[in-house]
Amino acid sequence: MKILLIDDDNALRELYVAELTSRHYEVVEAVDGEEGIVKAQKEKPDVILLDIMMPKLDGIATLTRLKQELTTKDIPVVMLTNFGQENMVQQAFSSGATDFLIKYKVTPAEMADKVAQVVK
Amino acid sequence: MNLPDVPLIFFLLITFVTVLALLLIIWKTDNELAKMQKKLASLEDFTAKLVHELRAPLTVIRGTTDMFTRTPELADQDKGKELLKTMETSAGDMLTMVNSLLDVYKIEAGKFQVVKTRGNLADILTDRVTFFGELATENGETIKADLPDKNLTFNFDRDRIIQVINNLLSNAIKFTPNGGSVTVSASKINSPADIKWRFPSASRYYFSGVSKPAVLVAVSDTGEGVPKEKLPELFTRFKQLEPDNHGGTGLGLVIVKGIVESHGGKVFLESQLGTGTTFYFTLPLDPD
Repeated sequence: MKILLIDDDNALRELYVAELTSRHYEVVEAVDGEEGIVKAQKEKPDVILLDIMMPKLDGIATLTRLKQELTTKDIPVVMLTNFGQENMVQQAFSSGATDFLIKYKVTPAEMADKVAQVVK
Repeated sequence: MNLPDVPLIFFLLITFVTVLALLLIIWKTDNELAKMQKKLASLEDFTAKLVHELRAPLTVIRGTTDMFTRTPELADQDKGKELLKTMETSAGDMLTMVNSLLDVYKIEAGKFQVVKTRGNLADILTDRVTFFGELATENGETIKADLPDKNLTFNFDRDRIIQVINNLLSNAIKFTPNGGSVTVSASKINSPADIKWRFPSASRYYFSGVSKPAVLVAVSDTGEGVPKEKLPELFTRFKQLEPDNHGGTGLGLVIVKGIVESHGGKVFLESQLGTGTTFYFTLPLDPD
């Protein structure tokens, strides 16, 4: 099972990678939306964890492009946000997100539980 | 002129002046209100950004403690040690942010003080360039010091000036793309003519106020540059060019300006879109 983690926060990525690999997921990392799209096409992950606030291409724009591409449109995407703003989440859902996580509210274990739920 | 006309003219004149005064008051109040609203909006933006910036490292700290509680054996593994190191960095980031916030409040309240001691600025600059070498290499950039005069000994607040240089260097590295370069130079300046000779690209206009002997430090990068209309905003609290894209609270330059001005110095910057930016600051060579 392969997971693509797109987030510009190095520290958080390290933490999530540690948790996910301890559950025997293969994790591919990207630091911004552009790199994320390239890796999504190349690596064909089973789930994408996508941060909303990022440089170059933000999460919503990245999600929109992932959902337009034939090769990536069927990969479930879980949005990561630190805001939990209603409009952002709504926008993400209407752009095709499968689920979302508010980063500061969940522990790495809860994040991994959510991933398990989505890939099931 | 008939007699009754005099009070009438007088009355009309008074009315006209009163209406004019009222209009002026309304216009001024409106202006003040708009200014206050703008200030409030930027304060709101800033608070939201600050909360986000503080919450990100806190999320990492909490997540790491949670992992260690569930998996105590992590402490003996390399991966666990790395996670602890990252957690420590996150805590450090938070502390830096809180300290910056306090600095800004002190600067704005006029309560910011520097403690000057004798030191060699050239040594500090060389040390900082070495310190930032690793980060620059990581980003595919080069960093160098251009210090013809190895002895720039005078009185300044060592810790605070290091803070200024750290701020300018980390900014320069952050905003310079892969393959770019960052240069730190410094010289003693006795007159504007010295500036022209030592820093030929510097616009004379900026330095017209530099009359006393000073040390001039320049931090240049080959980054994307700052658009002209954004230049005045750069040293204002709560402003950062692309607030959501580069992280940070945008307090760094406010503190840089506060520290340099507390030394009696000045901060200038020159920027050309697509070519790069140079931050200059002066520190007077007063014998105090």
